[in-house]
Amino acid sequence: MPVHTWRLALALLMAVAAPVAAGMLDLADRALPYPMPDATFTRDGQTHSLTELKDRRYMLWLVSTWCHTCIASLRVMEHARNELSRHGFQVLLVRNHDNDGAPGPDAHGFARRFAPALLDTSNWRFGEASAQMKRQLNPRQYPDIYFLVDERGLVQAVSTAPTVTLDMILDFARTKSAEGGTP
Amino acid sequence: MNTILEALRRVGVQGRYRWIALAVFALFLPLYLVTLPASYVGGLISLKALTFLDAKLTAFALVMAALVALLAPLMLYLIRHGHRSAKSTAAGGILIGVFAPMLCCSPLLPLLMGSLAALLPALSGAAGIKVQYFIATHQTELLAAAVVLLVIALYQNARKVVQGAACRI
Repeated sequence: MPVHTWRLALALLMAVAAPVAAGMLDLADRALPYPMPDATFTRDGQTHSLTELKDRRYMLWLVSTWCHTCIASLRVMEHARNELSRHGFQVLLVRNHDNDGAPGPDAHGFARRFAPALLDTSNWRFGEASAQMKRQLNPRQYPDIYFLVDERGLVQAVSTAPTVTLDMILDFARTKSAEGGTP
Repeated sequence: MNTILEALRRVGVQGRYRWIALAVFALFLPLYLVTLPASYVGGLISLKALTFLDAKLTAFALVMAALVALLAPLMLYLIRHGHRSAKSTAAGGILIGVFAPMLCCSPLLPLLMGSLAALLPALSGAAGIKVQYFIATHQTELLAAAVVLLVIALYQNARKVVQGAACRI
């Protein structure tokens, strides 16, 4: 193999390793915390808004149903559902707009298939992202991205892969905001 | 198959090449065991990925590590005897096996494609998600392709080992 091919391989490896070392799990595109933009999603054919979760501590989780990390993460979150419920923490699982153009079940069907216990958990909601939500919150089209929002409507963290970051989600769910809002 | 066995027999009679094979296997098996399930942990190289290993991924990790372990002594033998080894196919097999799981479902491709789209507006930022979808839905085929490339590389190098010896005679 010519020397330049090895250099290319090394450059590729570094291109992967560098962002990992720099903290690939932080997907915030601006300084935290910042106000959560209002965005809409649909559920059972009805349009809903994030303002419905006002004054609550919640996680908005955008997933694509073909994404392996999303499936594995959903199962991990299912195991943690009681801990999350105990703190009144809300989780809004929203399928990415049009599932990124790929076939697949809706958010409800996704949960029914891989984590059915979540369907009976009162603090979990499911929906479909609108095109406006995609533009506002996931313009880069990450297949798996979530936002942790406090009672004041401030985004405190933007990350991915709950399989790896569950502890951060649980810590956030347990913590009351500085202003002492009630979930 | 006979060519591969003959080459392995010829190289394997020297103890140091057997040790090299063992060392390469010991190096690559953990590498594959951690990287193959990376698609379940956002493409990260993390020990947490080990919890998502299943029978299929473990089998792929064992087969690929074994193939690389057999390849390495053949390539070293050829280099030491002044012959050119076939590296491209081997590198392709290793790169596909390692990178495919890391690129699926991670933020890396959307970030990369987003940056490229900013530089080249003609390039759609959505290309990254399409590549990720392809990798996610064809992971088994991609890993099988990596195995096939490693087998081809093994055969190419084995043939050179056998031919090289014949030329000297």
